[in-house]
Amino acid sequence: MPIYTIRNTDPATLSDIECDVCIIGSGAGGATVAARLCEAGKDVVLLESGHYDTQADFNMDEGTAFQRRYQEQGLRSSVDLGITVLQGKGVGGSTTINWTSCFRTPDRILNLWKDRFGIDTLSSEILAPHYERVEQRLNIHQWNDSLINPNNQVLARGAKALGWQAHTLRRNVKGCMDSGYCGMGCPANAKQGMLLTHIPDALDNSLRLYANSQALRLKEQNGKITEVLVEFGTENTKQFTIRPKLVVSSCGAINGPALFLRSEINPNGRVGKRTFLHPVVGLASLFDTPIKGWYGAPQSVSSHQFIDRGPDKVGFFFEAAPTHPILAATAASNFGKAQQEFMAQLSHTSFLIALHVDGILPDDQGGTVSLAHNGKILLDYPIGSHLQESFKESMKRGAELTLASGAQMVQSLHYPGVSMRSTADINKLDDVPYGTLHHGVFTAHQMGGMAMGADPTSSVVNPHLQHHQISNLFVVDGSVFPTSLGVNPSQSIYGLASWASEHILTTI
Amino acid sequence: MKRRNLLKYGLFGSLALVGGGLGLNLQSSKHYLYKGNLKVFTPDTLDVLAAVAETIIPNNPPFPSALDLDVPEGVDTLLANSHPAVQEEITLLLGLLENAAVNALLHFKPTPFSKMTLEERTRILAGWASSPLALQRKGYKALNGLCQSAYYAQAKVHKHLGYDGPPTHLTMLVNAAQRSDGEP
Repeated sequence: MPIYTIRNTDPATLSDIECDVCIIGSGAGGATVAARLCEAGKDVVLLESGHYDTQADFNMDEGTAFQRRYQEQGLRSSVDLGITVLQGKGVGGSTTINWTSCFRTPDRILNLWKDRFGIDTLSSEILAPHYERVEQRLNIHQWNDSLINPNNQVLARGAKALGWQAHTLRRNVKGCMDSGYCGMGCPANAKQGMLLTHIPDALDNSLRLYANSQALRLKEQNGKITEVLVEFGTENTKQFTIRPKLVVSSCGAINGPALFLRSEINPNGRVGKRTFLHPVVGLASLFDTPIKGWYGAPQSVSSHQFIDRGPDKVGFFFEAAPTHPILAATAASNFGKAQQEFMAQLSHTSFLIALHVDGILPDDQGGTVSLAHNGKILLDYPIGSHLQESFKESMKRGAELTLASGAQMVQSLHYPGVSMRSTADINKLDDVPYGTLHHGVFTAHQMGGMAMGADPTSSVVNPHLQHHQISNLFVVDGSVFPTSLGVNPSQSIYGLASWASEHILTTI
Repeated sequence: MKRRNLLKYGLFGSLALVGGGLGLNLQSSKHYLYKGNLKVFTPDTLDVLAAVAETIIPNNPPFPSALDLDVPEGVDTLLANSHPAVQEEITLLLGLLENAAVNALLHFKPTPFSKMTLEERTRILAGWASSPLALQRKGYKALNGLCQSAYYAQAKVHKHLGYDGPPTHLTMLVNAAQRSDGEP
């Protein structure tokens, strides 16, 4: 096993670079493409704006993790602060700090994309060999039921009591020590994210990896990207230029559109449109037995009982979330002594989250990414009436589930929180407002904004992920999804990137 | 209010400018003795932030107090690497909160926030938290999130939550990786 200790490049050695392919972003999409292209012998430069942190840096300190390994030091949010955005930054992207839940893209989503957006290039059969390869490399397998932690057992037990669908998740781990610190960077080198799989694979095949290097702008000339302007460093910065034959944008559903907008590459005005988030609402439940939701696999159970709620309704699915102190304190909307009393019971508190499947209803346009005049990236995501209805329904069903699981008390994340001690109390949730800043809303799944589609007037890239107007520019990450997925997205991105690599290779 | 100002400063800043126009802007005389070098805030602004932090995390033994744990400095550090627009907006928000004229208009209390009693400050923040105005809820969300993050990041609080922190065997693994990382 090679030891990868390259942290930063010496600025003094930086000069302009020529290469076959420049990939921007080292997360699920970019790292997978890098591994495939390097394996095929291509000269690849991979840019990552964040740090190159490894096991030695993963000290399990929550504050440090947010500052170093999350976008905007963990403070990224929608422009109205209504939605907290959890998104990774650093080598491996969000795969370094995600909770390892893996799903293949559901057939119903692929079929929807084909019918509505003309994406006839993707199917379960076409993607299967790519998923299989990724599943083998990342050791994606079903988690052992005996290792489901108490926080996730709440979900499993409640669903079983109510006769609702629920299942044990598949995770990309090898030798997992069940620490629960996945969200801060795996301290045991067990998480098989990009940091320990496709990045080292690519490095073994001569990848040039530049951490702390942000792509500022793409320069386009005569329908081709000719240059990538890069800024290296966090304090004493230095700019350099990459002149690639082909560019792959893999910097995610927020930074990707921002890069295109900075570069004024937006011929049809669709960059940054239809951004989807799987908006999350949560419930905190108090138990008379210890939960200690900070230990054990953070997510190991999922219920898709309400994924399809019929026409005109936004579906949702349930998962658990860990309860480390900062995450818990900022999720709860209280302050003062009420908040301290809530936090004093944290070891006996379970967090259930409902993730809402946005972008499926025909008129759901999701959010928009744009740039302020000062360059700040703006995410505008209005929470309309359909989502508000779904938030209320998911909180009511979530309360029902946790009470069925034996919770003494369930509390919504409103200010002040709605407390429920029996099913008779659930109707209290009819009397409180829903939507922007009325209660906590979060996202850990950013999708869309550079949608794929057959129609060049309504999408950014074609069904092979090639830019409609710029032939040597591909987009390979969650931003190409024309809707959200209804499942955690990482494996969908791995599979899509593996598949897209074949098409990229045919164009170089 | 000129449209140019509204665009430049956003709604928080614009309200603060209105207050400033009435001659009653930031006027704290209560000084919080901060530690270390400030990266974002001025000492006057930190005074206001200290009053906010004491309200959001009141003195409530056995919990350590917000000021014992330097929460205002912690918020300053949290914001140090954020976009200048974010720093400016939080600074303007604190100026708005401290503005006696604005408090008179919004809360019928013509007093700077830092000079109010804990009960008065609590009433104002509670009003913001559940306000029908999204702008006030936004202000509450920003200040509450920053103070909670700076406070609950600290190990001295964790024992009061029953949070045991990272398991020893995992800390040993990370330490071992650090040692091997330093090897030639």
